[in-house]
Amino acid sequence: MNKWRVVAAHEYLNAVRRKGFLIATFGMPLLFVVLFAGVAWLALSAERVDMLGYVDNAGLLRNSPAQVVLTGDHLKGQGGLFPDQPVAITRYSDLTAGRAALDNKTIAVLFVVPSDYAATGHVTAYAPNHVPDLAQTRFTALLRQALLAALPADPRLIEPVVEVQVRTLDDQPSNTVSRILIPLLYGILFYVATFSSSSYLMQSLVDEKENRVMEVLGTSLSPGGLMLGKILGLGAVGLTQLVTWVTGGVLALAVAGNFVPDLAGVSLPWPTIALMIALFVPSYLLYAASLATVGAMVTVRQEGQQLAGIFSLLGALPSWFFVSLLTDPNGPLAIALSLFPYTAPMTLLLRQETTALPAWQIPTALVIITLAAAGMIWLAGRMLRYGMLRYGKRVGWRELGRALRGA
Amino acid sequence: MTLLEVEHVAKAFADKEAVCDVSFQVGAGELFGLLGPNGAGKTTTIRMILDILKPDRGRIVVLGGPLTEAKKNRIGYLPEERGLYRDLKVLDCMVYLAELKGVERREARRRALAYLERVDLGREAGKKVSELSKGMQQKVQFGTTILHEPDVMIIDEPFSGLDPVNTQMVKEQIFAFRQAGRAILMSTHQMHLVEEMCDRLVMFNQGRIVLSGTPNEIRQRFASNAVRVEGCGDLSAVPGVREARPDRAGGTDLLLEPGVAPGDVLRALVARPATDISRFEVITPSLDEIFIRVAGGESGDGLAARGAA
Repeated sequence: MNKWRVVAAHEYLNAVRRKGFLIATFGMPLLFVVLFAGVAWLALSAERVDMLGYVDNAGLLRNSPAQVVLTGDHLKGQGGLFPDQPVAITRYSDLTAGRAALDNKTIAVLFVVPSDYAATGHVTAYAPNHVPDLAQTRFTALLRQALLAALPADPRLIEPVVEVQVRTLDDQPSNTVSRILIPLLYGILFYVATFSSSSYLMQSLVDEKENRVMEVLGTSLSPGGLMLGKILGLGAVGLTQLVTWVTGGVLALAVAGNFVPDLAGVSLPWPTIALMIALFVPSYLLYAASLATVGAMVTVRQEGQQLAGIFSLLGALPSWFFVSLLTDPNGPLAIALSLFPYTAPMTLLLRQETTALPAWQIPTALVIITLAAAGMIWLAGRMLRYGMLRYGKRVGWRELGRALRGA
Repeated sequence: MTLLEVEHVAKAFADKEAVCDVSFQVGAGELFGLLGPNGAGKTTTIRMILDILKPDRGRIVVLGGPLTEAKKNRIGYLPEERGLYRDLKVLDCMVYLAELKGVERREARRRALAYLERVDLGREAGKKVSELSKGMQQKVQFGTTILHEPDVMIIDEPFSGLDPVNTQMVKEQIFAFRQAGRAILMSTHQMHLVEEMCDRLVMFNQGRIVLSGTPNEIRQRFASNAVRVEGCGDLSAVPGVREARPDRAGGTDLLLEPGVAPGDVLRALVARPATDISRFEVITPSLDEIFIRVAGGESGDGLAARGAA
């Protein structure tokens, strides 16, 4: 058995047994499941209302029948979680009659339209505890119908622009507002998976130097073999994390779909997941090798974490420009960030969800990241050999240069 | 058969010469000692042998050639203090390090358990390394050095932190190792152990070898021209004796005149009818004394020359 395989197996098992890994890996999907379950629970427990009453002091609704039944109106989004729930709305002549109906539970909510409604738009509601959303939407719909009756019946009057559909110059449809958080979520998950395994790598190197296990390792296998084993073993840890999350997502959607009809049709964005996996290998290698170089240079954990901070800032940079990436997904900034190896992974993931990426950009970025990763792996091997015995002293920049020249 | 050869090796850090023109050989079945004060260049020499550092000059031959990856399986190295994964269980740590030396997993496990049993650590196999006392850790560390049955073992301060019982335990392991015809290079400060254990040794001072030979040769080279005599009868006025003074143990130390050999004095004493000699020995300093004297700048040859003059 090759020694790098021994190292890889050891690092993998050692990392997946850590509490931090278990918490991050299983805690995250669990959190999503809990969130989904929360949404489902909210949906199920939201109050349904079927009878409402109102007192019209403004005379606005005098032409309506004494009782109307509304099932939402022609405007979208009416009724929230219960778009089709019919609600009967009854007119009462005065507050006393309305309150009586409320008291004997004929109606759930009593709305009072004051005489100055036209000027203020204020409405008073009486309810035993609170006013459910559904009651308010349905009553609003009733008012809107009454107001519209005085005008030419054109729904566009109410909502002149329903959605702006952005199209790129080559006429690709681009979809913005509806999915703002999802790309960010992918970006963050990807970042966590890449970065946590890379920082395990750095930590294990610094620990081995601190414990002087490094000397024993150095007399057992080559620095290159050690690095290869660590990078592959911990890379498998990151992949395990991603796969667990994707699986967790599929399961969570399946479970939630049973409770919330709206979620039943939602499927995971497989092209994005495929991109994520394709990006993971080279970008993990890039970050792992960069942090390994740091790990080989420094002697104390704390110092390593400070330097690692630079790389974590670089990796998270695209999320700072999130808004500009969304509004101008093919702008110069977006393209620049997509082609810089450290920012490319997250930028591409964010853009993938907001625009149709030009065909050349993904392969180009993958090649750039791979080349950068290869360069960093080479450097990491050099630094490991050079910095192996620096217990008390960080490798300075001048020495870094010397190591590069192969001294 | 020579398993380890160091020839005219030199290494400098920045502008300080850490090791300068160092040469020695270690053969099969030999326990070779590296002695010297802190910072004398012992560890640097060891690291060059292990190919952790590259020498500036000179040649190092390990098992008949340069140290290759394949040969690493035949080398056992015990670094000075620490060298274990503190967060791992004792057994896991030993098995992993043995696997990296090419021992198959199941076999590594078997050997590790047998070793732990042998050194009274059977019950600690499942504990974390960090939960063990320093002495216990040292025994585990020693175990990882020999688990893959290397041909050459390089041990840096193997007895640090060990009490007499455990020192004896590790000593026996080392002797068994030598018995099996393997080569051992041991660096230590504990002179009495070197005196007792090593077949040959070199002493370092400021990056150079200042002494080499068997412990006996070295002690004799540093011997002042004096003998210790025990027995009854008159020990005064022996020809060639400059001064006789009683020592604390009840014997008498005879300081010889320059040019007089201990044998001459012995013959003279035996020839005296009234004198009965029960003990006669050349007074040699312990390696401890020699170590301090050498570290202070004295050289054995110079002293011997002065004694002979």
